[in-house]
Amino acid sequence: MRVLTWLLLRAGSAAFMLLLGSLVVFLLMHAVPGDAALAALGDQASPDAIADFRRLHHLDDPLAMQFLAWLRGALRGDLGTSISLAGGFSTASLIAGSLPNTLFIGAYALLLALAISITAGSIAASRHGRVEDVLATSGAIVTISMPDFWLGYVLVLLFSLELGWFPAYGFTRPGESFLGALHSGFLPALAIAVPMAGIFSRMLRATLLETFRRAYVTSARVMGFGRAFVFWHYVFRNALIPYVTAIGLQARYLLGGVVVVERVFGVPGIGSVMVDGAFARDISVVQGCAVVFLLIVILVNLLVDLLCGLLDPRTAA
Amino acid sequence: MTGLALEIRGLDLMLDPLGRRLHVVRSLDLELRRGEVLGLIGESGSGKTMTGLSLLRLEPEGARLTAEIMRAGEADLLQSEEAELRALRGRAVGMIFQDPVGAFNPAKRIAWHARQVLVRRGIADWRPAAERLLAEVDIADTARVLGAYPHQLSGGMLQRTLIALVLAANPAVVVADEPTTNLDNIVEQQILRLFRRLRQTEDAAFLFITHDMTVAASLCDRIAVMYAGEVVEIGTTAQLFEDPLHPYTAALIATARALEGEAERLPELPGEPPSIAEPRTGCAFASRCARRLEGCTLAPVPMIPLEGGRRVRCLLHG
Repeated sequence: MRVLTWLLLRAGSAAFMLLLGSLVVFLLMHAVPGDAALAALGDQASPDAIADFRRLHHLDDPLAMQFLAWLRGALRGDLGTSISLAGGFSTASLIAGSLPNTLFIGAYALLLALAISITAGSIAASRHGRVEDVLATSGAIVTISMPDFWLGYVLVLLFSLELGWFPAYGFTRPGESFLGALHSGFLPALAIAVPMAGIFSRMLRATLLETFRRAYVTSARVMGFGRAFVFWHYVFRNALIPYVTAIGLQARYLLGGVVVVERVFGVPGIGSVMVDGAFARDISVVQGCAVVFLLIVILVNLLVDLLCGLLDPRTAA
Repeated sequence: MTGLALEIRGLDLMLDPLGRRLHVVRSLDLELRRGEVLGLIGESGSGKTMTGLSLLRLEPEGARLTAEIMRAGEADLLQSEEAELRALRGRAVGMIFQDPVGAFNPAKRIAWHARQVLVRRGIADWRPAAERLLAEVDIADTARVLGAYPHQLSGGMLQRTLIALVLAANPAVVVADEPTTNLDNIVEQQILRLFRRLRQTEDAAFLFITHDMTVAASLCDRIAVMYAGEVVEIGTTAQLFEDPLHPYTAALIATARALEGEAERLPELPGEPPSIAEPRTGCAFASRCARRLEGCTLAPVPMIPLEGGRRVRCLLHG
């Protein structure tokens, strides 16, 4: 019963956030300078053509009407049609074509960041104050300070142009070849993962060090349990709860990273679709992408909460 | 073979946090017979807990521990091999803590803790053994306790459980570090009663760390008083209460009596204990002592043996 109430509350707040988020994006798109008709037809277009374009796409309707029209469609699953791309592509089809690539790169980056940060954070914490700790901690600061797009170009220089191990540009869709996607997606995923791993490993190190000081760790050692056992079952297991929570809070940075890095590596993801849409003042495309991003963040946070409930018996419903 | 459950001679513990050397335990001698309860009493920071952790060789990292003798039962605690020490922990010396809630892994059920301890002792069929152990510390609903997470049980219940788990390994010595301080009064009395019974039935000797003279008096055969890292007086509970020799012991007992309403005003001891970071020339208590002699601040005061196994670190009795 408690679980059901909780789920209903979460669904309600998610719906509210989606509504609010799409309204904010809608208003922002109208607030920025530039005009969809000019963007689509070019500087040389005749005033008549521009007027026709505006009428066709209801751009002269009151803002509230435009938003309500969009919302009505969105509730039926119709996110509108791109006004910048010839051929009347629906926004939904643009998202459906690009979202899997973005999710793949995002998940790939997250897994790499987890693997790197768990290794580095654990080593740093269990060798606290020694060479390994200093190396891991200062390495983390360096990686946090690297912008992901810059790191992307450095990785391309090193691993593609110099060593030739990975392609410098382009992406094989996971639907075509999963191994190909793993190979061609490695550098973009790594460019996102490395700065994130810096943040994650520092967070993990801090929570591990705090957990090391807990009475139950001393109590476990008093029982004669071995160091590895105590680290794994007592320290790591309990540090995992704040670590997972902290990762959930970074989900939006992950998405931000994906958008930028997709451009650098030419990955046909939702980030590229959204950036193109924004330049073309293509409101329905930007709006649709923003809603999808929002939905992903909400789902990730829900997942994190569920995971924490599983990890921590004290918060379990 | 000495026949002693615990024998410590000349234990010194030096901590080194950020290069500041702290001499937290100074030339400490203690001995415990089987079935005996020795109270280790003193204020916060007097080195009681550090003494307890030293017996498990869980002194803080970077600390320097030296002693002439440190044995628990048959085991030599002055090993340096971590693997050997790990084998001794729990078996030679067990330890119970002040905060029973914090002593358990919050992510695991009690049954998990019991299984880890018992399987390590070579008891594969751990569940009936765990139920027997819990029953021995007066836990009736053993199935519920085993199935519970630590946060679902009361402090008293967890302290009983921890005592049962520690005793499962049949240690020669059990260090109990203020095991009732965090519990309410009724539960405290129950746990003290449990200790009084266990000392009869178990083979172990108990080192009962406390700052509460009343608790010590109600449970301990002998009491060692610690002040600023040193044992200043050791003797039977009756000896100490009837005729405290060290001025600090006398002050402690006067305070305890006052708290029980036997005095009009709460006696006050002026001053503070000396810093453990600074080198010490004479008696640690000299600056607060009303009966200070000239020699007290000139040279370290040795432990002076008296009749009946009593010892005191005070020139008034030299």
